[in-house]
Amino acid sequence: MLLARVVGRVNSARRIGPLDPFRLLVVRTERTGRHYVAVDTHGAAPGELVVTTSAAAARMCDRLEGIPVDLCVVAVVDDAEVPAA
Amino acid sequence: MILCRVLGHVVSSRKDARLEGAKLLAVVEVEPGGAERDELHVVADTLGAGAGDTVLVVIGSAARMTGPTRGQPIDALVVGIVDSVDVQA
Repeated sequence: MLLARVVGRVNSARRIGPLDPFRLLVVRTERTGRHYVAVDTHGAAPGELVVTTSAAAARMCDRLEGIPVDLCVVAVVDDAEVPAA
Repeated sequence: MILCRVLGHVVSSRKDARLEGAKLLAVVEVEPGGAERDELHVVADTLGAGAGDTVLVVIGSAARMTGPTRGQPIDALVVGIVDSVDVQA
């Protein structure tokens, strides 16, 4: 899993049907600053810190079983003790 | 998922039989602002993306989670053609 911050969202009208109901968030990893796009089912907002889970584990989340998703938000972080890099 | 920009098509006559009919694109990873990263990928596409489009790509077994791609030997698939990306600084 990754610790990442929500920095935006992706707008895409033409997408694979099963992805239609979901918000697509741009997240930036805390340490390396890499950007990924994650499906969000938890209402995470820009600026919030989240935990994402990837690959097949992402499809074990509620409502994501069997659809083409490889990264999703599994938790919105209230507080995390992470020493600065 | 990662954001990529489509560079062009990849055409192959000699390929695994289960790739018959699959449309393959060469794409490069991009930052939300559009800057290119180094990584080049070959991805399957069922949505009709073309050169210059920004696309959303899933990696790994997720690529095989659609009707047309189930059972195909692919590990990357276009799941969305991106209209815009809103990013706060």
